[in-house]
Amino acid sequence: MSAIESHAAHGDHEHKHHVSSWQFLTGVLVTLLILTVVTVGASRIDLGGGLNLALALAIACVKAGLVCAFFMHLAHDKPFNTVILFYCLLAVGCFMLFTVIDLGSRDRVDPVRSGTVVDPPMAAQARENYIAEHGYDPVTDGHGHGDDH
Amino acid sequence: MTTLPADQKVDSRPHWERYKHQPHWRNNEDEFQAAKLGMWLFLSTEILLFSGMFCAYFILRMFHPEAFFEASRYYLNWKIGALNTVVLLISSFTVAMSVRNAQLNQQGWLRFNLIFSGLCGVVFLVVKLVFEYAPKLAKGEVPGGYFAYPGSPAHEPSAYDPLFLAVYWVATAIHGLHVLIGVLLLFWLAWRAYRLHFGPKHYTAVENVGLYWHIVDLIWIFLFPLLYLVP
Repeated sequence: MSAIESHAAHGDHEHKHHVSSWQFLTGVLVTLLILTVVTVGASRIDLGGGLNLALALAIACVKAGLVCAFFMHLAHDKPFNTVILFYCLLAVGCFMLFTVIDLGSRDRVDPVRSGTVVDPPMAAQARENYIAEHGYDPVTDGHGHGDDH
Repeated sequence: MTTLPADQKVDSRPHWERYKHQPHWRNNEDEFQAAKLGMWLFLSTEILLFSGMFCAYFILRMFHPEAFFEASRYYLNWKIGALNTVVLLISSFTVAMSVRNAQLNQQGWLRFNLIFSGLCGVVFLVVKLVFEYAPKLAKGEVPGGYFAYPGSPAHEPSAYDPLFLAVYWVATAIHGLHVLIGVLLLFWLAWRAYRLHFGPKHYTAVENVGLYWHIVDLIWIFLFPLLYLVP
């Protein structure tokens, strides 16, 4: 019997998939819930600059890593699935990086292009429409008109 | 006395035990691993789909940080987002448990965990529709050119509020569509679990729908702090 036939004949009985214990999965869930509380707590503190954003993203990445490694079994899987994930993240990284570099540095190339990407007039328009329809300005004259915000 | 040929005997074993791979695979294991590989390729396209929305978020936020901060604080209630985060995390856990249940042939728990996960998805969608989408539509807090919120003494919309809401609506609605599809898949799995389709020797669909559900959860893990807690 050739090696391939032998594998085919016994293949169904050879593999052993990793079975996660329920205690371990529960531990991952509790960690994820704690990190959610930490995310909310961290957003209440003003760290200044981009630190809040960096911290929020760092916590989200840790949570994502836990989900990928243990809920999605990448830690016990064939490594090629992890390669696919990281290749995808590399593509996302290139996409975001070059878009930010482009739009963030246009003023250095051409001062006319600095400032905004788009300048939508919709908010002012909505207010004008409201005044035309109801006869009063909800921002300056909003009390007593049942605005529930 | 007549007997049925060997290949026509009634096989009383449950479906998962009888399951035979498609003829172009060498064995069930190869089929399982290939299906999972295909699922990961699909999931990577899902990540790329959402990366477009995340990129839009980062660009618009880079140009209008103050407007995004104010808009997030005013239009979104972080408590609703946090509630939905917890719901999705718990459902991710029960989906991971359902894979374990299939591996160990715990049929009762398998059914319970699949139905429970599906119900968590339903809770997520109901919270989103009733407490977020419906009031927002009623008040005109909708994106882009449809923006019709006139403002109030508590918050005068800046020109960039419709942009924030555009990112919010597009990202959460497409995510919500994924949750809806995931719910349908989970209930389909539960129905199949009742027919004993899944067990230690065959649980490909449980594994792959589980992977899909975890990706839906992962996207929300990033959407929640970025939209609801604009840092």
